Amino acid sequence: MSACEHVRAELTAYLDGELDETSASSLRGHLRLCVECRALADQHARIVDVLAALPPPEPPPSMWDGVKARLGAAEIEDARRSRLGLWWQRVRPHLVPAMGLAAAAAVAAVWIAHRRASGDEPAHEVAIGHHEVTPPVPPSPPVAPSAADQIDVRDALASDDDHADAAYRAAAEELIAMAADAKGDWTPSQQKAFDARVAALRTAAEHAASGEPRERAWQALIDYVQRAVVGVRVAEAL
Amino acid sequence: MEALYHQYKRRVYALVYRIVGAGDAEEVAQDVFVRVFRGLGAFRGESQLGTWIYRLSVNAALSYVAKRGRRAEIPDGAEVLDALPAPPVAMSDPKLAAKVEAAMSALPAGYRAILVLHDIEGLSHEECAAILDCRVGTSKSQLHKARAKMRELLGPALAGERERS
Repeated sequence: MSACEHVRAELTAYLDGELDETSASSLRGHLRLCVECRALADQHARIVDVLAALPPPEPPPSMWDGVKARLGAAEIEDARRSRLGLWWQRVRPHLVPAMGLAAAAAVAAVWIAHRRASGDEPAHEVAIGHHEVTPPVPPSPPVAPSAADQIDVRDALASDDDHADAAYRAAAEELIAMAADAKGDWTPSQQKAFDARVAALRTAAEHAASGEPRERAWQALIDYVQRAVVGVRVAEAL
Repeated sequence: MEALYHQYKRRVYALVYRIVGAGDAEEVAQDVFVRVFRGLGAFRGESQLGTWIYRLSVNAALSYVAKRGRRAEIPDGAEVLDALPAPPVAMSDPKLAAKVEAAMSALPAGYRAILVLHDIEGLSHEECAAILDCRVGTSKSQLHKARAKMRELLGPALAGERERS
């Protein structure tokens, strides 16, 4: 690094008084000898002086009113979120076991498909409800349930499809009812779009194959209504 | 709450004004105060209140600029210096001040932030580093680059100033 480059790299520290006296003296000595570096230092110093002397802009008088208005809007949003949070706490005990059973259904279905593919399962074995079994199949489940376990899982799934469907349906209907309050703030075109979308998603849920496809359809409806009401997913709001 | 607002309104407004520009400063400053009042309960005193408010202000302003993509809208160099907005209040050298304000608006937002904090607000590098969540060395190097860029933009204006003085 040349002497000029070194001095220019140190100019900010020099102007801010951060160099020790020996380094500062050396730099001042260079500035006495080098016209270009001295001009550069003058310009830097001038910029610093002007910046320090810039008058602060005065905040507009309306700013405080705007802050209060925004705080009020945020609290109204909090009230909506709190209501949604209470709702979620109430329906979650019903939905979470249903989701767990849906996962169990998928595992059981995969395991049975594996048994069939490997010749362990009798050809006349009854399929589980309407769940679709999709290959590829895991090569070997870590623990194969006994025949008695298979019967228990299938029985539980057969009865729980109905339970999960009812729980999702009730949750969706309740959330849609909550959305009716929020709709008052929307434009007519927004309300119309919302109603149309909800109707389409509800129809899709009611006509979806039972089990996981229907659960996903109900979840899509719930997710859409949540987003429309508070703009965020329930999980983010809690 | 209102007392806190009046205590910090000028500093917050001035900071965001010089990062986001005059047109959007009020909106961003309002957003900062909403964050301040709603976050006061979570403020744990790990830093000074003023440092925390500055940090919220810088973050809000930089986020706003990033979303707005303002850099693409700003002309560079001579075009900036030709557009001479009047400074908020008259000072001893209003024309040069206006050029400095215009040059600042042409800088990347990060450079504007360090110039405002250090050179205008007079904070130390330790305070700047705490607000910008960076190392002290980074604060110093950013300031050096920001001033160099200012000199580059203002070179002819500063040269003319020297000849007149």
